[in-house]
Amino acid sequence: MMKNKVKELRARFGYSQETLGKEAGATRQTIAAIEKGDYVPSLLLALNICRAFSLPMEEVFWLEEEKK
Amino acid sequence: MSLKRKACFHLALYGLACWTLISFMEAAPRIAQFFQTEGSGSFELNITPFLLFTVCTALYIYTEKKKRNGKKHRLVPDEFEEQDERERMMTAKACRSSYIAVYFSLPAAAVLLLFYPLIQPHLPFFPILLIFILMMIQHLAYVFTFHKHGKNSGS
Repeated sequence: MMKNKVKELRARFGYSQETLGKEAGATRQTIAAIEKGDYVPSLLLALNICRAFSLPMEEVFWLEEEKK
Repeated sequence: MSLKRKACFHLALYGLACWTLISFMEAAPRIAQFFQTEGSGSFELNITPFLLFTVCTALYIYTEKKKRNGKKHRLVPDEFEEQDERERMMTAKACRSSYIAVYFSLPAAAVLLLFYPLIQPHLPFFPILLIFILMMIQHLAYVFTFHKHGKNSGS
């Protein structure tokens, strides 16, 4: 299961969902879906989000074992 | 315009288009007779559905044009809202379920058409009705799936 801290980073960097969406090339709704964990972004979008925060991938997205 | 409102508009347009065609079909033999007798005699044609259809289409085009601002191609259906990868994914899933709906309903419609000679005296416009029902099934399958995935992915 893919986890992320987009919401936390967005708050730290003072970005709105709209701004981050524009930076990463996605809509506000998509950013909201990623934050809630309802949507797993493509590699390209994930890299664009990381670039918007100037952070490496592993600090924004990571994999977590699913509970059985 | 929201997806729900757009879907309602489309269904209303389908209904009105169906009504227009049915009224034309009912008048067609008399219209043919009118032209065969070189204009002598008369025919009756209910133009109410046609007028309603024209008004609704004009209203729809006006509201959509304001939103679109001429950016999109007119031949692409309005339901295709693909601003990013998530919306493209939603469209793909909606198209898939729409295809499956048509895949099953089209043969069912073909079977129903076998009974047309029996139905014809009571419902002469049965084939028109069937085509519009198919269109509605396809549209509803698309809209419901798009809405479901939209809700599940946070929009």
